[in-house]
Amino acid sequence: MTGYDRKFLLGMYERMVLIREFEDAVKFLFLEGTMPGTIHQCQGQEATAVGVCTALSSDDWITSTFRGHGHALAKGLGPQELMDELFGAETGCCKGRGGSMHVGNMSKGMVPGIAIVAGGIPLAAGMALSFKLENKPHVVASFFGDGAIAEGAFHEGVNMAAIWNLPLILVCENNLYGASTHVDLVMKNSRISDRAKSYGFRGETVDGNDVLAVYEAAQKAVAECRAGHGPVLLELLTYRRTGHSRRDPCHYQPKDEREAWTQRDPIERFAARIQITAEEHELINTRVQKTLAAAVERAKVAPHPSASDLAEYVYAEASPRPSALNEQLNPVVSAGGSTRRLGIAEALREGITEEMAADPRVFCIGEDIGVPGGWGGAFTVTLGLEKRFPERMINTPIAELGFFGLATGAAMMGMRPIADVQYGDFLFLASDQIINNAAKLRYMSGGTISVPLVMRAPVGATGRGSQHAQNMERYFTGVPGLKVVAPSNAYDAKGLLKAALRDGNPVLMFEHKLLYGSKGARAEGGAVDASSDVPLDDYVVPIGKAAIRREGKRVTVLAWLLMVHYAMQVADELDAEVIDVRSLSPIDWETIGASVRKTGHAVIVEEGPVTGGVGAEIAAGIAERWPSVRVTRVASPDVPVPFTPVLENAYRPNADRISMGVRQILEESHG
Amino acid sequence: MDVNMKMPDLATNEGVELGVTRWLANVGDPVKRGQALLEIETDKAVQEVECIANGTLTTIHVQSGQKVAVGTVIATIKVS
Repeated sequence: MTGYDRKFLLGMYERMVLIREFEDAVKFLFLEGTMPGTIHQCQGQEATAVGVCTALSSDDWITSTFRGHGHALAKGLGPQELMDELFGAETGCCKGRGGSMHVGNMSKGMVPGIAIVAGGIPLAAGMALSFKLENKPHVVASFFGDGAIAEGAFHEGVNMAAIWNLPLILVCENNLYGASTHVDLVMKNSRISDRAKSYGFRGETVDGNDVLAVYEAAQKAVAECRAGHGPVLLELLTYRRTGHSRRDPCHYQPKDEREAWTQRDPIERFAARIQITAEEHELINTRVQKTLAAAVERAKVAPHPSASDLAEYVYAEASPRPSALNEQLNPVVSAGGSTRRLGIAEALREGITEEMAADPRVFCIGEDIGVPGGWGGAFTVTLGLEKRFPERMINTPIAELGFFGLATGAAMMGMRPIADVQYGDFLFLASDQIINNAAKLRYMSGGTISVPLVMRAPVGATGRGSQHAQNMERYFTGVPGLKVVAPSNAYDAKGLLKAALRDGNPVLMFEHKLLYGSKGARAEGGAVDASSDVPLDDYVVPIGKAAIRREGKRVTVLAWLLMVHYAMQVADELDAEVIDVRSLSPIDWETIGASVRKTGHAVIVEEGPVTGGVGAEIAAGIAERWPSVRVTRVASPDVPVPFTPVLENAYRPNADRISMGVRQILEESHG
Repeated sequence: MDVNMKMPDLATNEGVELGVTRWLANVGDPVKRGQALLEIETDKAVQEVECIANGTLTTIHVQSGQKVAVGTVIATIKVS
């Protein structure tokens, strides 16, 4: 072994032995029935984890998968914090909230394992994007299996990493099987490294059971990434000597194939290659056994979280910025002249501009934003911002899953991304990253990750048929870890955007296409004036507060977005109290409660199908808290959004239908 | 020291009993951690179960053909 220090080689050997013995110890704990949950183990794959992580610095990062124990030990997590996590203990690396599939430790450069296949790739690309934007020297190695190649997240994440030369090492551990399915059954070309070329960067297939070959390939990749020539795809050929998960007896692995790979065991091969002595082996083995025996004994009695702490770590506490801000609940602005009349698109543009100017961590990422001569997003919100912030208007491919993952990864690293979709309907494509990653990472990490991500999405039926029109609020309001707001005017739009950027949690803002006040080619037919007097001074509208738009005595009408405007049209004649719910998650029960207790009647108005809507949640919430209040809903029927104007008009609640709904509930209770 | 080996939780469905199909070692045999010690039948498949400790197999508590609940002690190994 020329060129390598003996201590270095023995260090790699010991790390591999530690991983093997850790996995075996865990396996037997499962066989004994002493460990909860399930496990996905990596016996046989030790060289990939150790080879790659040895080439990284301690302040470089990795993302991992559901099969992450080896990656964790290779990146420097201790066996104790890992074992404790597997036992569900408070002392575990994720305080027992993650478990075997989500081990990680942010202070050691490992994001908790992402157990959705390929879900870690866009996230890792986003981390790498943040390092590039902030001129940091770090690289990210993203581990994934051969199964990930078939996922859209792989394509979208890898493509963006390629376009922007991100410092990302894509580490494919090709162990020949995605669960029980052989790679040859799911890809025509099973040479995975070939894919790199089609994206325009370098890929390489490496013997993944040769730890030095992996280390050298990773070292080269790290150097390329640090020099700005990333990404690199490393395909590491290896073999899983254990089941996909704990109950899998591996009957799909042919016996001769298993035996052939056993002959190429990474630990035995390395031992032979470095001619490890009996004394060296004995010393290392004894040390590892002692460490693990102690870890198991301590983990068995480690303290578990208290059931009363169930809801801890769902949301981050707000991280307020130093500048003093006015918090104003309602657009009550003095007539002193320090305001301008702005539409929602203009107010949002102004808010984004101010935030980007004040905070270098704020950037925009989305489709058709920041293109000179382009539209400024679908509804002109970011028009012209590329002139002032050419580096921070990240114009993406049409790849919602991918760039919401990038935005989440960058937010996790401390950036303040604003990600937007052209139409809310496209959020379904991005929903894995929003719901499984952005919303849950804080919890899964035991409160160590914050995802200060702002997302914007236009909604509403506007002559575009079924797939550019849905009201998406219903799909995201019940997601723990996510906040949802829906402003109805320009003042709120700007104030809520600023509050969202200061929040420290993922916040999704729905905007209505008929309320933007977009001009020129992007103007909407049937638009409603949602402009406000917007102060010149900085202000925020706090998330979680509803606004009373009109005080009334007979009935409370609860609405948001466009429906607030329609409700206001009939409020006087009905003497209705109109509440702009505005914050859909969390809901302001205090304001709502005060009103419904006074009027005794609640009419919830929602654009979108009546069944399973946000209105159902508000109705249930009122019924549980104030059972004497009569509640009804005015919403769209349970049909997709139609195209033809006659049907679209019948679909969307209007002033007449709101009025009818109110009259009905009042008559019923008096009749 | 004696180590008690329990019927592993390898069933697909909760609450089913698992059957010992055959033992692959005899009482008195030296055994090693990781070696196939017995074969069991789950509701899904017949599969081998690995020995959990190094030592001598001193007692077989559940004979071939018997079914027991997950967690039942099936063998005792005297650790050397």
